[in-house]
Amino acid sequence: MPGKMLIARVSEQVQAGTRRDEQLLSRVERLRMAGRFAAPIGFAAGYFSAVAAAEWLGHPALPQPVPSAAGALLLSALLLTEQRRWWLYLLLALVMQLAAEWPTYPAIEILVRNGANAASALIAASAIALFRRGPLRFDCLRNSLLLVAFGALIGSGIAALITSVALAIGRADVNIGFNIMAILLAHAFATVTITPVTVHAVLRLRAGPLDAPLDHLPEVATLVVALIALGTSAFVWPHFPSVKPIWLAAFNVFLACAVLLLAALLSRLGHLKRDLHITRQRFEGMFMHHVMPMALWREGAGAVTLNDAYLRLNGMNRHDLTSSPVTAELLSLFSCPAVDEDCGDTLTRFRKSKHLLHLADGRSAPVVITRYPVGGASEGMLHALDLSAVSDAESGRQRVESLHAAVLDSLHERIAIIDGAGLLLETNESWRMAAEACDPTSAERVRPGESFLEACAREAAKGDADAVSELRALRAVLSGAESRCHLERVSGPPEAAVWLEVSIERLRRPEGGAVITCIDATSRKRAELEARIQQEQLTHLGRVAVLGQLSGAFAHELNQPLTSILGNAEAALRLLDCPDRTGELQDILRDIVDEDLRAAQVIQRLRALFDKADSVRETVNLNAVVHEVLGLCRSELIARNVRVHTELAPVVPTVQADRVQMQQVILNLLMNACDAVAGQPVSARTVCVTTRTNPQASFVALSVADSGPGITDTDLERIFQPFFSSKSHGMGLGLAICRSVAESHNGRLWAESAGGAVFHLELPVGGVLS
Amino acid sequence: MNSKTTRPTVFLIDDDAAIRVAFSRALQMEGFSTRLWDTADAFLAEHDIDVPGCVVADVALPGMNGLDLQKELVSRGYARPIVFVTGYGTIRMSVQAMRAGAVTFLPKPVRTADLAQAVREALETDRRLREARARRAALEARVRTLTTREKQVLRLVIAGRMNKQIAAELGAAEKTIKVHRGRGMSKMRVRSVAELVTLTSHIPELGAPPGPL
Repeated sequence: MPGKMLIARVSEQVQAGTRRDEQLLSRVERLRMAGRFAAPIGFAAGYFSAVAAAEWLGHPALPQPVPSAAGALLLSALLLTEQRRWWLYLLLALVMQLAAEWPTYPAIEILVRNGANAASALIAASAIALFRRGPLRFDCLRNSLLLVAFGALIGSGIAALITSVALAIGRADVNIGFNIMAILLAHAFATVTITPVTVHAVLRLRAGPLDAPLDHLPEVATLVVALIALGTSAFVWPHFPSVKPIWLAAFNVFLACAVLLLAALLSRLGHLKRDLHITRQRFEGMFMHHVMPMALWREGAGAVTLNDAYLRLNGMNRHDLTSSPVTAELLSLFSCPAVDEDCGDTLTRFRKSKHLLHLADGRSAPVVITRYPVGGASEGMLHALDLSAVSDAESGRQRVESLHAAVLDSLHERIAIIDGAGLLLETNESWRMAAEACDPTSAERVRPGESFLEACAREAAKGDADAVSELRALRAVLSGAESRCHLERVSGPPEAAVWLEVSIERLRRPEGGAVITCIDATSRKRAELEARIQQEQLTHLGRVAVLGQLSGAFAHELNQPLTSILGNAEAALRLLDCPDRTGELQDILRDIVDEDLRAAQVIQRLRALFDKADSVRETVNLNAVVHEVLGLCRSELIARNVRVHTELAPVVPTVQADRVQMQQVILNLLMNACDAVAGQPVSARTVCVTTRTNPQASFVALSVADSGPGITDTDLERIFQPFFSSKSHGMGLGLAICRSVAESHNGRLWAESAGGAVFHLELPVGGVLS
Repeated sequence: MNSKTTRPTVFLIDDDAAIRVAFSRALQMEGFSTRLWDTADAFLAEHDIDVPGCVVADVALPGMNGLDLQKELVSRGYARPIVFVTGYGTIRMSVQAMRAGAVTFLPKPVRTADLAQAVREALETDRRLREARARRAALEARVRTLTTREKQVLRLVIAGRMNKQIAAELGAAEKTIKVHRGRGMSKMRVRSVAELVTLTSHIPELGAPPGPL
């Protein structure tokens, strides 16, 4: 699984990082351990070399070699060492001095020189330790001045005085003033050159492994070479009078180079310092104004730097801080007992602890403090997370949740919420109450956490048609194919069944889901049923009324076959007397049968029209219905002198319709058309019945057009209103009933006036609701 | 006229083919010869006024109905007897038809005996009407042979004038009038004035004289 692989890889990387850190730490540790021994050894070697070199470099005219590197080295060692370990270096200096000079010089002289070195170094180191501010660096004015004042002038002066006085005792030829001056200069020269270089070099070594390449190596090398060359030319020159002074000037090239490089170096240093300053300001800005309370801490010193949020947490501001420096009270975060100590993450070396902080305004706030090292192991950063804001959010969330539940329970509709996979998330009280009455295996009884979808599928598998359609709707909504579905179904035990109007709405959130709402629609359904029954009764009434008007025509239609049967039968009776003409008898009898069937068909159609049967949907060809109706009212049309043209589409798609009601509508429209043309001369009484379909064959249209006077625009809609009639006879219900029949078939019925009146009936092919 | 045309025919007009055929069969069994049409218009298009016979038709016919047919026949100069067989008749219709000519109404369904009887009577009427028509035609032919002077004289004779009065009225000699009168009477094939008056009572040409004497 990708998740697992990811976790494995992350932990692998973290472990690798930790190993690297540990390697680094152990290297630093090794260096520190080595430093404990290497520093004295190095110092001893350096001191010995310096004394030995001084001997070699010593000028016969001077009491002291220049520069006097040994004193400067001792000062460097003291500056870099804690005071409690100074004794070690002082002792080492004495031993090395003896080792280097004894027995060349008398012991007393060696001791004096050593004592002068030690005294000057002690004075300078103590003064610098006392007065310096900030880290031990000599690239700032204050520390440089301290070095010059106490190291180069006072320290060197005392050393020169001691040495000169001591050396002058018992000797008459000694010029004390010249000696003091010479020794002072030698010491001072060494102090201002060697001490800062040595201190900075050792600090750099201590700061960590020298991973970075030594940049500026050429510059440094040039400087060193220049200095050595200059020193050599200045001090060695007198020993070799044969060397021409002109060669001295050659070294000035080095010196010029060194000055240029130094200038370049210093200018770059200036840029670096400026960048550092900007970075520092940015960091401070971020740190100080960060909303998270933060503090930089150092082992043993507590918080060193605090940001504003930290101060606010303690009920203070920065002004208070300047008036009273960082106090123990401020650091109460460290001192107050941890409520819950968490060892933190061993991989990242974080330490977390939970504290109950008593704030200045009397409140107590739960705070989680996280500490982690920055730079070395002894210093780092901590931040405090005020949990009171989190707990506020938590209580707000609980309020919203309880409101949400209350709103759901207050709704009368039964509501269930499911997630994208079909698991039931929540139901409201109406749902639960209704579910109690249901069958234990039904989908309504599913509890939150169980799969509603599966319960529906189980019900659907039992062959429950409602459940099948509900399952289909649920899947459509959950898959996102539909945003909402509506359906109706019967629920509950048969003796107390209720009609439910179910709506399934997509839950509008990225992870999907659905809200199922059930509304009890029993009373509406009952009202609808009653309305339908009444509508059917009214339709039947309207039909009977029209048929009543046509009773004479129907009698005639029945009389026709009866007449021909009678004529044929009597002819047949006479034929029986003529044995040679029995062949004709067959024709006659066949005709009688046909006519009888015709009479039966008329009666059957009439019965269907008169019958008060329930509405039945069947496959109906509208052309056939037109023919049936025209056959029924043929006599009436003849009697009224109305010519009926039919323009029927050769092929019309069938519709799902109630045949009798279709007959009724067409009959009604035909009779209306006959009434409309009654006022016209006989030759102008025409009615045209047309059927057609659209190119997509999605509907079938029938129109009945008459040659009458037409309908006024204002009446075009009014004629469909109940009890509106333009005739002396009739109830004014015919067209209203026809329209309701059309609408119950999902069709339309409307009128237009184009010369005469035209009535259009349009029915959709196929889809008709029951 | 040949024998075929002189034989009376029953012209059956009904838009219902079954009824046409049934009536035709029944009437043929009764010994009538029949011809069938489905509309009045088709019948009229082929109608020969000189063929004896009667019409058996439904009153309610598509296009021209039975009553219109009757009117049309009258307007063509001969009101051929019609037997209306209808299941849809009304009193108003019947009265209208009766007033217009020789008509019988039979309700559907009709017994063959009744229909045959009605047809027989209608054919008899047709025969009588035809005879009267023929007589009148002969008389009219005789009238057409008269000269204008003879017509004038005979008209005054029918009006009851004496020869002397006629001569005075026409400004002619009584003897001349006598000659015209004798020639006219012989052309009209009558012997007495009474016979002439009876014969010519339906002929407006020789009827009452224009204006009083």
